[in-house]
Amino acid sequence: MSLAIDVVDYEGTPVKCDWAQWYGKVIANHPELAGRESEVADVIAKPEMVLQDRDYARRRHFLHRPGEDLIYVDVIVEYLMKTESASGAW
Amino acid sequence: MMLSSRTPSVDLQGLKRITFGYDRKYDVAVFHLGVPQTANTDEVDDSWYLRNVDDEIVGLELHGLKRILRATPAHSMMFKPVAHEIEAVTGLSFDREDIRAEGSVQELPCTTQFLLILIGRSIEKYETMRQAEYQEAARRLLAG
Repeated sequence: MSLAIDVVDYEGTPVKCDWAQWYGKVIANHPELAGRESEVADVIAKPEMVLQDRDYARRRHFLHRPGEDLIYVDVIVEYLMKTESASGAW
Repeated sequence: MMLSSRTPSVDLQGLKRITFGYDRKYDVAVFHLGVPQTANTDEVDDSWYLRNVDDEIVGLELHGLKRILRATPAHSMMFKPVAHEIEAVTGLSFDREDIRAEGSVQELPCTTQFLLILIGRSIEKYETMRQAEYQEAARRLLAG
C-alpha cells in the first residue's frame, strides 16, 4: 500500500504517514499543505533545523524555510520509540 | 504547518460559523473560524498556535489540550460545557474517538465563546512574546 509520506529522516529513522492520516488529520486542518507531500518528506529528510518538542519527548519539529521570507514549514514528527536508540529502526 | 510572524487581529462581525477538530491520539485541538483554509501559523506560546491569513486570525491550535486545561483551572472549568455541547451535537465522545464538529455560532454558542476567549489569550501571548523580542533586540543594540 502506498503512503503519503515514506521517508528516512536525517538520522536514518523511517518516518511514515498513510493517506488516511494525511487527508484526515493533516490536510483537513492545514489545507495549505495539499499536494505538498514530497516537500514535507524533503523537510524530514533534509531539515534546516530540528527542535525537540518542549512537552512531548517523542516529538520533534523539522523546520525548513522554502523562500526568502521568514515563513517556515514546520513538520512535527512523533516517533514510536526513543529516538536515541531508534536510528535505522522502526 | 507554515510559520509566520504577522500581527494578528480577528473579524468578530464576520464570524458566522466555526469548525472544531480533536485528535484524541495526539491530544491536538483545532478551531477554525469558518471552514479550514490555507493559512500561516504563528506559535504564540508553548503549544499555542494561531492561524492567520493576511493578518486576520482564521484558527487556533492547541497541542496538548488536556495538559493545557490541567495547567489552567479556569480554562478547564470553561471547557466542560464546551465538551458537553460538542458531544451533544456530534454524538461523539472526547474519551473514545476523534471529533469533528461544524456549525453556526448559534448552534455552537459555548464553543464559540470559548474560542474567542482563547483567541484573546493568544493575542495577549503574541504581544507579550513580541515585546520580549523587541526588548531583547533593544538590549543588544544598547550593549553593542
